Amino acid sequence: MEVCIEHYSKMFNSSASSSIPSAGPSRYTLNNLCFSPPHPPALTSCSSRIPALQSSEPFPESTLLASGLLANIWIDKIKVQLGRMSSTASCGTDGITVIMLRHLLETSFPKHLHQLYLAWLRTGQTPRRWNESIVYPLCQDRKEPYTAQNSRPISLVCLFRKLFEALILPIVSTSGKMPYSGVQAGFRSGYSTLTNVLTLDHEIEADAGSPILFFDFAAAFDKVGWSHLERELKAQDINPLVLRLIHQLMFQDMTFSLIVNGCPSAQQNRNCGLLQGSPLSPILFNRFINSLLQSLKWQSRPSFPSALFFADDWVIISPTIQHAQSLIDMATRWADQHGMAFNIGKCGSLRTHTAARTPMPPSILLNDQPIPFVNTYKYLSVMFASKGIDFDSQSTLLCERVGRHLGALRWYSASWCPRIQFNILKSILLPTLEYSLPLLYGHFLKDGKSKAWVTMNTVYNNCLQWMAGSAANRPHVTCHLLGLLPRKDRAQHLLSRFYLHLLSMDKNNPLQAILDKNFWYPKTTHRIAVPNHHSLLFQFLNPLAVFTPHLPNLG
Amino acid sequence: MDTLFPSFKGSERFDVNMLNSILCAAVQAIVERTLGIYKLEESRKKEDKAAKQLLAELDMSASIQLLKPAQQASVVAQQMVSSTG
Repeated sequence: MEVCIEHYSKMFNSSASSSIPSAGPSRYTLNNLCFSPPHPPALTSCSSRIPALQSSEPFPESTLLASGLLANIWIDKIKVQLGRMSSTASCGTDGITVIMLRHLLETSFPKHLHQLYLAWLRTGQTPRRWNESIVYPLCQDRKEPYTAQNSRPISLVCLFRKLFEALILPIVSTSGKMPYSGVQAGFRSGYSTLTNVLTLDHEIEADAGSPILFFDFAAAFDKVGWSHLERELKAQDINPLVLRLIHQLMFQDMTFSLIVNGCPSAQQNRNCGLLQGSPLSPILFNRFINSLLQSLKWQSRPSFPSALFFADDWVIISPTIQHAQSLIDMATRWADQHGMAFNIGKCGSLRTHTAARTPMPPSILLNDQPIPFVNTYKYLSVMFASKGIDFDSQSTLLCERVGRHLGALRWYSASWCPRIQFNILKSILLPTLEYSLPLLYGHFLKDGKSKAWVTMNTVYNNCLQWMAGSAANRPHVTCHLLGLLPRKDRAQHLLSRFYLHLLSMDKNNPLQAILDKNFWYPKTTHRIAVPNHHSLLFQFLNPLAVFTPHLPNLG
Repeated sequence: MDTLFPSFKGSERFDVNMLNSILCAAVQAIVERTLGIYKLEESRKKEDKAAKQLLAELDMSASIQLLKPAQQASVVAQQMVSSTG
């Protein structure tokens, strides 16, 4: 426990004071929950640096109206938002759950909550209790021992706060002059992990010539400091009331109680980092990192992005090693100026096509350390190798995940009726197996003897047999009896849905420019022939090829 | 709800922490009155009645609720260790 507290106290405090306070006053439990004492000692170190935000003076009504926050907080919206929240979402220190509040929807509760939210907006202050969180260190890499260093802190905050954050999210996202970079795909509509993966695959197939460089920030969300974030937000001309709310919710008098092996610690202070588990954190991180993206994009080649981001997962694609090194130097300077650090062990340099055939190129340096060369790299849960997506490894990865689920399910599903197994199959097993399926199916259309496809078929059939019994040896028939689509039809269905997603993607998505350059369906009514040797992207150019793959290609 | 949490009047002076505590306490009081209080460790030792009830229900959320305790049990079994140990 002490080691873990020390680790997280260092991580969450920019000038770490790792003293471990003695256990707090006694706690009591209600419905599986721990309650901490009402008010922990207040922090002053962080807030004292920002006197303007420390003021408790209410904002003028005109500022409040200009912020747009009032328009987003009204009773019906509270009800809708509460209906949208997952009923299994964990509660914070107050022990109030979504199910509890849903039962109060038809009472005067939404009205009271609405009044409180307005009162808090008018004063520009949020309750101190909201800044207490419970931190669960989740194991990051299950192949390694579960230690404090090999864990990711997930923060549970109270539900009133989560609801409030969800209501103000659209304003926090757009307030000021916020030109989101087109290469940022994380937490944005019109983007997805698969559009990023397909773009990267196309870039590798286009054979840039130099290694593809993957980067990892060490504890990215937890290293964001207020002074750096404030500077970025002010540069983006964010509304002052929104800025004050962000400071109050994320950095003022923050405390956390760590749960280690089921035991809670006393409340500890924290003064930096965005809470992983708070609805605002991803958007704030996007705003924080946007200046880095903008600077990398300015050096891009025509129509090719020089970097792709998905939140803090990013990759550099460059035609020459010198150019790549200059981009890295730029990123290193940005990281130094913003209090971020790279996790060099998780960065990777992937040699592709011609780069893989030439003698070992000089190492590319990150903070004077060579970026390690890798033969494969998992980017956004998709395996990449020297020729693009490594479909065999990708299918193995997915199948192993499903195999682990299936193994565990076999242990405790003996008493479950088939309907429950069917529900679990549809909600847990198939979504796991179907991640990146449109791309795998696109590859299958290119190569009918794809080993990846065979592997996935086998696991799909195992899932069906778990549900329908080992005697169900005809998956096609079992699927029809269960109302499921057979494997190939399901893949075709998902491919078509992915095509529709491409049609509606953001105009700044780099994949849009790449597809437009190749005269895909929205740009031409002519059907384009898709020879087998063409890159994967061509499987998504032509709606006829997507919807009716069995028809012969026309020249 | 109105009894436990009298309506707030905009003209009154208020403290945000106090208002939050009052509303939380009101919700907690309603929940305690309706559902009661139980001690987690003792409840875990008792027979799981909820699982039997969930087994009879066929909707998706009941199935997930049935699965979650089993998943949590496997996660809890994995104890964090000291890196030095």
